[in-house]
Amino acid sequence: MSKSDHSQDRVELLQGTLDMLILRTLQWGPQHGHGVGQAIRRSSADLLQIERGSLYPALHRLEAQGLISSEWKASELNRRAKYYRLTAAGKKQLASEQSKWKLLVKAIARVMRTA
Amino acid sequence: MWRRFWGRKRRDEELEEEIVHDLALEAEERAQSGLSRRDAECASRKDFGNVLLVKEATREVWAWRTLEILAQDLRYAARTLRHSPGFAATSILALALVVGVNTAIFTIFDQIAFRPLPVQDGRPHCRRLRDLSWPVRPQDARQHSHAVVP
Repeated sequence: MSKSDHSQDRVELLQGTLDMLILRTLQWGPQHGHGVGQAIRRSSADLLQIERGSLYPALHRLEAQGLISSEWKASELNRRAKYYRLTAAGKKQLASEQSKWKLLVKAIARVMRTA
Repeated sequence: MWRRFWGRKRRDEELEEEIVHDLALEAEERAQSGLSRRDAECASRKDFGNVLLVKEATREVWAWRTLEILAQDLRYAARTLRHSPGFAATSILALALVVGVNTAIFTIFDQIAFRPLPVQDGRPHCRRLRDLSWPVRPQDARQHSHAVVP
């Protein structure tokens, strides 16, 4: 499969960024677990593949924290699927994490340039 | 919101359904790209990894969440008590007193009812000892008072 062919090219996800990526993905609308994983993979041009063992725990944790909510709806397979959506608290969290992330990227880029 | 009141079993079933659905969806996508149904399902399962491990990791989140909520409640209780030290002191004192008194009463009751003096029945001095302590009716008391005198 093309998925496992170029696993060397993949980068490890920085700790703590998965939550931000999930929130960002759900900004485009409600999505089920598989959809979230696929969306992250697609928008990272296959560089990031989220392990299921991290994805579901993260989704459930975010839901418990009230940053996302879930409901069961019929999916494209015409089966019951759990759809996650961003809550108001989640939107706020995403905004604050996004600005923190930008700052971090800028700071690290600055340090690496001088090196 | 109503899902919060469902038990652990319900959550387990939902997690199972969630994972099964996502697996089916992934197999469907692979099948559409030209793989046979069987191969598509196999590849999806392989790619997914250990389903049991994934479930276990997700359940761990629930357990941690429960502990966090408990810790939050305890912290909240401590904070509330600190806000009204008079009330806190009174309740703690009352509780301490009640526990102390209960222990004392039970200790006495235990000694009297559950663990009477370790002497065997039938020996003369023992009967006398008991008779002295319970002169129930006057005629009994009179009758027994004879027996008591050695």
